[in-house]
Amino acid sequence: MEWLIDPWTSGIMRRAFAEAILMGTVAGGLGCFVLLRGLAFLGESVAHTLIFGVVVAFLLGGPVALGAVGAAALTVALSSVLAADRRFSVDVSMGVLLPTFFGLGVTLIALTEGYQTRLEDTLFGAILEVTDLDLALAGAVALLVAVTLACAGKELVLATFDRPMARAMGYRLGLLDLLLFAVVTLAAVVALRAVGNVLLTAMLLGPALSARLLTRTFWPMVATAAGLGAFAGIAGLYWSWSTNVGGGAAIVLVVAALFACVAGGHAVTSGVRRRSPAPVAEAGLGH
Amino acid sequence: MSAAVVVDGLRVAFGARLVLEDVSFSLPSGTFVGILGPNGAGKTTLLRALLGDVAIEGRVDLERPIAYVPQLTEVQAAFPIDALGVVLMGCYPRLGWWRRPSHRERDHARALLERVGLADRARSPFDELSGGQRQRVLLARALAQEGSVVLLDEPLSGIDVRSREVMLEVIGEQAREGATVLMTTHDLAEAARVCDRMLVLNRVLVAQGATEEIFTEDVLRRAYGAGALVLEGRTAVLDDPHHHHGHGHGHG
Repeated sequence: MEWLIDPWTSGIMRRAFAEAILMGTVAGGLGCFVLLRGLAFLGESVAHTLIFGVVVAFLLGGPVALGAVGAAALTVALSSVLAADRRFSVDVSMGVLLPTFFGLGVTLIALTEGYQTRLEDTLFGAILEVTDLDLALAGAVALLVAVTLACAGKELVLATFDRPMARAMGYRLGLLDLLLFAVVTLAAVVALRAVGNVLLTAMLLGPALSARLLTRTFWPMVATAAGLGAFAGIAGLYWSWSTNVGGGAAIVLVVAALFACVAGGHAVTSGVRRRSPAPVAEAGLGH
Repeated sequence: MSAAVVVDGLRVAFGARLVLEDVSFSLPSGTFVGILGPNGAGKTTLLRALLGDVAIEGRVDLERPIAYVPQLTEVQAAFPIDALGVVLMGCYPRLGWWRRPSHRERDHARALLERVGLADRARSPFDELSGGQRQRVLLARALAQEGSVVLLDEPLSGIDVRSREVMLEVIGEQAREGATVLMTTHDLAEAARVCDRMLVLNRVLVAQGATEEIFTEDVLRRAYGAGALVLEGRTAVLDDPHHHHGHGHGHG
């Protein structure tokens, strides 16, 4: 059992575990909204906009996490200004802003002496370098997400399931969208630190996809995805500890492996269920 | 009787496209109104104007709360939610932001599912229900809204006979209990059978009044133009073959 306890003796690993659990829970849970609203694009582009904030923070010598939060806040604020025009939806305005920020970030990287070495951290995460400030930020984001879902969870579900009805009931869809985008962006900030820019989308979508196959209604799906995300964080770090694989990559690979198992199991059980009642009728229909 | 719905000089334009013009009517409480007209006549837009969901000119006044049944195609059916969960949405505005539905709301929602004949499907995922069953769940949700005015957008489109019977029975009951019901439909014959009054739209209000006054060859010709056929004194309306709802074939 030593391998189970061993990683926890290191302060660096304890912080990494805390970060991975918080990140996995938040990204997994919110990923359900991202998946069902068809916002995969949002997760991907948010990851790009954050690079800008990270580089600016590096230039100013401030904490990286605060730079990312700043960039996230700026994006959400600007997109809400753009989306005030009814001709643009919030995701369209995001689609304009995020590549712009990414371009700015890349330009700044090219102009900044000595940043190239840290670029890898931004792309693939640096979960072993998590600071107390990063952890505090992850905790604050987790709390904020929990409060948001407790206060507006059922309204966000309504706005996802049936937009005309939500509008008819007098809910302001623009504001609800903005709220959702804001918490997803904050979750992306946390995940950026843990798994990096490139792997972030996998953290948002992977656990949610698995959970969709395992559950029939939304809130159990969120709980399952959050649990799977946290589990992937822990399991990925154990793997990383024992083999020297990068933490972010290991976590994402566990997410992928979990999905492969769930999807495989689902295919087998639904295949069995489908075949058993009417084996002849179902044969050869390309299921 | 006091008017539950008053519309005066309503005009709706989307950019340069004028969708509704000079629409005025008033409806007493407890009437069951059919909104008829060819595709693109502005039926759905009229409902959206009543809901306050589009920019309008003119006056729209209606009793609140408003219950609403959107077109089935507007709902994201693949969302993981069961029938009971959908019906419970009807009480969200009353609950407020952080409160979750209690036992009282749940029991009420189950009773409403029973009323639309789906007591045994409360825990069925919405995407495993048939089109007609889904439509009945949406109706149960509208009942949970306890509206003085009930707006239904094509509730009879593409559903099975049993669902249609249940829907019409429950909707009619609502009107008899004092709610003002407005229903858009492509189904002239059904509308003539169940509605007290009719609004015939084709950008402008072509005709309005009690069903027996409206259901005449002259009015239908003016509303549907060449789509109206008169055969041996009976009028048939040929629906637009390029039906934009994609599931309403075979009506009219």
